[in-house]
Amino acid sequence: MKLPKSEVMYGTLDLLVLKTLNTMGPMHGWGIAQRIQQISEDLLRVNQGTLYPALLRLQQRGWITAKWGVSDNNRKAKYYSITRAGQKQLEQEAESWERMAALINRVLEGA
Amino acid sequence: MLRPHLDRLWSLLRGERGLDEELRFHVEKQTEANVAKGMAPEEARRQALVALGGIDKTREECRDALGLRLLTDLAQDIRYALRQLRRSPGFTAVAVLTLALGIGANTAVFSVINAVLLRPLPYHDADRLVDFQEADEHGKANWLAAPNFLDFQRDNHVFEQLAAYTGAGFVYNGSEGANWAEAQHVSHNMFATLGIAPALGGDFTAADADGDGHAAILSWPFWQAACGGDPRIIGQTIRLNGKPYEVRGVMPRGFRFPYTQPVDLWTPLVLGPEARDPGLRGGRYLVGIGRLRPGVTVHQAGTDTRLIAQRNKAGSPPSLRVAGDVSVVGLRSSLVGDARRPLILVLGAVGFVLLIAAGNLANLLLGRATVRRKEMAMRAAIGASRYRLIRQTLTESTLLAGLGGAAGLLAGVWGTRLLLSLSPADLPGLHDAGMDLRVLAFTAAASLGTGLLFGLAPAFAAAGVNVQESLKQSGAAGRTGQHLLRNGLVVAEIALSLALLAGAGLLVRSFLRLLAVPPGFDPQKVLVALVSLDSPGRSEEARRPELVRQLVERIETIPGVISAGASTNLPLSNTNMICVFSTPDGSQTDQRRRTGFRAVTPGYLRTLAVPLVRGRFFEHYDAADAPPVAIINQTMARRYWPGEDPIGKHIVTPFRRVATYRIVGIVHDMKYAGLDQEATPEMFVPFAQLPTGWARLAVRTHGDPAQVVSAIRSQLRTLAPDVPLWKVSTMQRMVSDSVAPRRFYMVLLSAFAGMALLLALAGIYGVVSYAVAQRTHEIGVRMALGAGRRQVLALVVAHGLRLALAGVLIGLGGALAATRLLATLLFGVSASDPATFAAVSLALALAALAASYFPARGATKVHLIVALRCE
Repeated sequence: MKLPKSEVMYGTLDLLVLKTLNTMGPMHGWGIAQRIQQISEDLLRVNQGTLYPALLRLQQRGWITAKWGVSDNNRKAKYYSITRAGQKQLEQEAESWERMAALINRVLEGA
Repeated sequence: MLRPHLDRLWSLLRGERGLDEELRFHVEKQTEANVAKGMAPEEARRQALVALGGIDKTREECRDALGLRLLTDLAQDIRYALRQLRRSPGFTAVAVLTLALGIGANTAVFSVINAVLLRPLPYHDADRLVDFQEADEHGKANWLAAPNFLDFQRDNHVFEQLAAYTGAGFVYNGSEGANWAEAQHVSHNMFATLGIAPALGGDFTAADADGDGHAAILSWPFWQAACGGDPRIIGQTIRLNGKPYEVRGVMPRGFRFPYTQPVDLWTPLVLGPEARDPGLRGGRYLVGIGRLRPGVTVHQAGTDTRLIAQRNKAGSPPSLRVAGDVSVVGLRSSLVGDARRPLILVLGAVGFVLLIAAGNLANLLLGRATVRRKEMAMRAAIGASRYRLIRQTLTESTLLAGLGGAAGLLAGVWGTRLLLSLSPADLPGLHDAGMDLRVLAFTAAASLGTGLLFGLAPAFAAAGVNVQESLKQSGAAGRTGQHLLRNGLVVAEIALSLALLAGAGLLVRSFLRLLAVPPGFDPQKVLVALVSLDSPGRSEEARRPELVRQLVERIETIPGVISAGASTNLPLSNTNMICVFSTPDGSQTDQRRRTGFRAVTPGYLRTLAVPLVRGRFFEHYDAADAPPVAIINQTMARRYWPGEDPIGKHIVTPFRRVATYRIVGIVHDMKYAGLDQEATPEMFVPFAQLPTGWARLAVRTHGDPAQVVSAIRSQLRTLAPDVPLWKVSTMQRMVSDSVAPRRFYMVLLSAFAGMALLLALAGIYGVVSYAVAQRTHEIGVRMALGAGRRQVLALVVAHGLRLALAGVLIGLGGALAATRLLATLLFGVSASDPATFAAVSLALALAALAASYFPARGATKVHLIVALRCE
């Protein structure tokens, strides 16, 4: 069954970006977008345009940092990497998701 | 830990450029990926852009995230607006000039109002200061008598300090000979009351109130001029009226006593034991200045002191006419007097001018908005929100307003100087008018307000842009709304101009009526001057009549002089002498009468060309030892001897020397107090029979009166070398000065009405031209169908005329209401004078016709083919 394509919600985009960076190491914006699309098997169609404001927000919160570098074909690109604070945030978010899932499970079983 | 903040700062500094690069990279990578998937390069790129979801939007959201949105948008808007303005220099020039005119005029008027009405008086805590006098039975301020002043000072509960002053003058013997110093006798606590201490030396002390009063505090300019600015003058003496006065101190530079004329020096008001004589309670010659205690209101001060006044009145014989009432008025109000209302009216008038300018600007911008609607539509199509479009248009208007405001500030500075040069001298604080924070704030507010006002129209036009319609080639829809707005603006402008023109017209008529009032004498080519007849410091009553007679005789021998005379007071001089009298053989209706009273030489009335109605003028045989005689004017004759011939009747005065005068002549009334005032009773006696210590010369000349001044001075020097001649002027100048305030407001209002008219006409021209341009196609069709030149002209001119008529009709009601506010300034003309209104409406209509004529002519020259092709 194909899940209907849905817009990714605000907060979850942050989560996905952090996870991506944590797993894959430093990446540039396009790379992040590609990866998210890959993981979700194209089910989550990220409006690529919303990615960049999200990256900025994450920067402001101090969960990722950015550095200009040179890409594989010698072009200037901005590379993002996760920070310690970002990793901690990731753990916390993952935990709260799990707790949420467990709660919902209990409710469903109980009913 | 610091990293994210540094990142943020860095992003802020790098601005958008970093983001652009990043996005470009992204698009390239996506394009590559698409090409790799097998798309054609162009398609690949397009898909990449689509996937990104709109670059501008992304950018904006990023900026939102950065929190910079407002700022960068604003910067972008401003840059864009500047570019637009630079691209159309003609439009920008016209707009900025129009604004400069409107805002400049407003700034100039406001700086005057600021100086006169708003700025605090230059004394310590100046709004606690009041002008304090006794009041007559009508409640009008009527000066203070010395014994009463002392009582008020001692018994009041409301004043921290109460001081008094009276005018004085001294002959000052300086290095260049005798000179006149304007002075004031002030009570010893005067400067303490005002809260300003002398800059050099010290103040008067309580001891000075009882002493001989031979001390002086100098004003800064006088100290500079007479003592060379030498600080060692403190403790030294200067000679005033021949006597030595010790210089106690010098007042700070820029200090101005709350009085209309500048004062050279102050001496102590000596109020010794004689000042407490209850018989002097009716002799009012002082003016009080009081500092209210904290928390006391003007009203409370009045109530408290009124009790004292009533007690004094109750304890005095009625013959003394002691006032039982007081007048307590804020110091500023008493100084500003009648000027507040006309000044505010002028500000209103100049505000109208600004509104009209704003209207023209709105129309100009609407025109531009129409031209740029394709651009607007494009921007809306690619994602600009309506809010953004409005903001961008408003930014442009505000920028224009800012430029106009800056230009207006410069114009205002120049205008203020112009106003100052024109204004009558007696407005307090006027000389200080200039740029200060309040005026700057006013200019800024006026510019921004105007910008918002005229910016709204095109902003809404931009917002209401219908994308589909505008992108099409011919966009006729949605324009009728604009037409209404444009025409409506011009009609409003015309209505406002009508009000201003009507007001100006009424003032002009009033002024002309005033000038046409016969003064009762001939002021042309008459020199006037003041002469002191006693040697300084001496009272030489015996020599006065002879001195005057000889002086007048000698002056009459000067070539160019027709005749000369002397009097104690001249008409229109703001001075007067009043005496109480009774008429034993006249009407007995009211016992105690008052008349203006002057001592004159025989030739005086003839020199002023005052017509003799009956009887005779004074002659040389009306000397000191001859029977006392008097001449009266018509008003006095009519009032006190109604229906009979006063010649031969008698007047009894309370003077110590001569009590009963026999009337020998009746002269025509003179407008003594002012051209717009009713004539009051006047009585003349021969100078020889009541010689005062001074006399005012009147000399009628053939040619320019100024030419004989030096000759007169030399004659005076031969006769009496120690007697100075000053306050030299001409009768014509005194007449002119007496109407100066009226002339000032008339000139101002006329100037502003003229500006308004020009602006409104420009508005008509603009709207009619625009209509012609819009209707070029229609005109072409009409001409193709056989309409002649004249008909096309009539068509266009009719548009202009319709606007004018609508404006006049709508404006008439408002103008009638507005001119009602002018009523107190008018003379001999009613506020709804139909002739003025008719003339002004007609003039406006004709001017509108002229303004429509030129675009009309342009319309007829339209080439048929061009017209038909153009849409």
